Amino acid sequence: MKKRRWCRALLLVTLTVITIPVLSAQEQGSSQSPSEPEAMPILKKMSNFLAAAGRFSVTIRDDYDVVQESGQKIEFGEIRNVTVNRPDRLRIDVERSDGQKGLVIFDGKAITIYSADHNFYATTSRPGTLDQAIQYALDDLKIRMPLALMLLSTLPSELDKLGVSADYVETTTITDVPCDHLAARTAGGVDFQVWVAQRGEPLPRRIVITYKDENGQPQFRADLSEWNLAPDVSDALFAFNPPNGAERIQFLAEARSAAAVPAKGDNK
Amino acid sequence: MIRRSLLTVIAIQTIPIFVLFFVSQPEASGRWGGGGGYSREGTASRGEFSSGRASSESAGSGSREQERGSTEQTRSGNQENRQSTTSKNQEQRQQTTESQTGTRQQGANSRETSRQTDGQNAQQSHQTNEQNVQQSHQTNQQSAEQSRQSYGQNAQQSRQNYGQNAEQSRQSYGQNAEQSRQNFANNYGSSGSSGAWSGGASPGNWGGYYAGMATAGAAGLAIGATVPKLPLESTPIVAQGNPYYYSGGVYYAPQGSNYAVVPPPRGAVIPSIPDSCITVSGPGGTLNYANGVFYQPGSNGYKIVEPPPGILITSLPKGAVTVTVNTVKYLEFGGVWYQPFYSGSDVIYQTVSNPTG
Repeated sequence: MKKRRWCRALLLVTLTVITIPVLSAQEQGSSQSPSEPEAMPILKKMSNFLAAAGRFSVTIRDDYDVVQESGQKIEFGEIRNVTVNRPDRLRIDVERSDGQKGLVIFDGKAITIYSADHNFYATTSRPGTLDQAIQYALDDLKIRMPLALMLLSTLPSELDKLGVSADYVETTTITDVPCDHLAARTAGGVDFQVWVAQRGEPLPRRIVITYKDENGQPQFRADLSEWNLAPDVSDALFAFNPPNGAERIQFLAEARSAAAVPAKGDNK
Repeated sequence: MIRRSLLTVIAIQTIPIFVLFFVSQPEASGRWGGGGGYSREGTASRGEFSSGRASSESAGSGSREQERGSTEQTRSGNQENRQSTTSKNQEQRQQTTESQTGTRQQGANSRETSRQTDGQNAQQSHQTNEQNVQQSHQTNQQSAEQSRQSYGQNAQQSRQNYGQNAEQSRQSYGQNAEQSRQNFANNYGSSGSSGAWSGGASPGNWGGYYAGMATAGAAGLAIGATVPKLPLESTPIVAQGNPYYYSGGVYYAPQGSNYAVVPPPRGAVIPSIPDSCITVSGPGGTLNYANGVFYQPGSNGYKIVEPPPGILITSLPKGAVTVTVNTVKYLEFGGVWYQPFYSGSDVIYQTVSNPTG
């Protein structure tokens, strides 16, 4: 009897001793240390700022891994000069790492894509807002438009939809301006990091996306520079004039859906 | 007695302490470790050109960003496939050997154990130690085996993914399948087009097929060029009843006392295809494609065929001729007609039936 009481007392004491540090650790975990900034407010501030900007231009120097069948990871890159004029203008000049140049333009009425090397272009009528045009270009035409999310006026809600959670990594001082380095994860299994300028406008200076569920976990990395919040947005910038000899071809997606519709309708 | 139960209590309570320690530790270091808690060490942080764990990374492709790279990569597809098959075979052989060894060991263990069941305690514990060591050794082997296996699976999967990519059937190919199958049937059902290089053109009449700047195969010989002698290792083939010679991706037809470089004669069967061949699929099955020529794999070799409409190709050889028919732009190469489209941001070429009739 005496024995048992003794044991019980010991058990109680030990459990108490174990529990206290665990509980206190959890408390610590749920609160931020006073010296460390919080990540989500910085991310929100950045996305709200971008979403509210009436117009801007930025140069994106990006590269990305392509995991080859052999397992070898190969990097490709490009430079993109992006000009946004809300609500309904966009121009992206692309130069790929292999020297091929291209162009994507939305003028409020149509989306046009052009490749200089082929001297081909395709245009599709798409009256509406820039947000709608970007969605169509991405979802239906499958046009490559890295970081297109950043161009949407709905960026903050898009981030919410992705189920983004973020942590603060550090203050990066080796960028042209000191940046808050944030590490974020989406509910969909994609990690990304963003470096947001601490001084001036809260603009992203670098973005790294890791597709951690993909084989080889390829990354997309982009440096964003030459931000301009008052760029030239004359109509000429968003007008596509086919260069000499440029030939118009179709978007495959549209040709197929066009072919599919009459096939159902009048069996032709 | 008291001391014994005290020891038991302490022993039992030590377990949760360790468990809690390990559970709470990563969380703590994750948040409060130096530099914001993110490790600065890793394979990539080393910046070296070799890495001990590189082999666990396996291929994968399929996202839009990877389109360009993966199609370019397909050029060496055949060679890679062959290589990976070889290494896979090797892996399997290794695995078999190892699992056999493992089984033998296990058997030995259990025999030993049963023999000594009635033995002394000290000996038993000694043996248990040994077993533990052996077991952990085994576990290591097993996990190594497992990781090799899963690598193999990954590799296979990625090959499949890659295959899909190469076939370029990513985007709603199925939508068209029905229609294309019909086209295919029409095209191949008609006796006129069977085996003929270009609609009604008669075999042997190669002169008009290629534009002047087109070159044939790796040798860089222009179509129409003549050589007085065939390369030493050339293979005689017969297509449409006419004799041809094949060597290193170049086809020759006798012309007087010389040999003329000709487009790949449709219907010819060659024993092997160029290494640069990629696999393309469309209605009617899988074909190999290289440099404007489509090959159909068969039991006795690869037959040069006219592709069915609906096959997507990411690049055409230089020398494809642009033809506009009813305001629609086409390209023609080697008697095969293509229509260019934007697929995403890239221009691709879809085989079509001859739009000029």
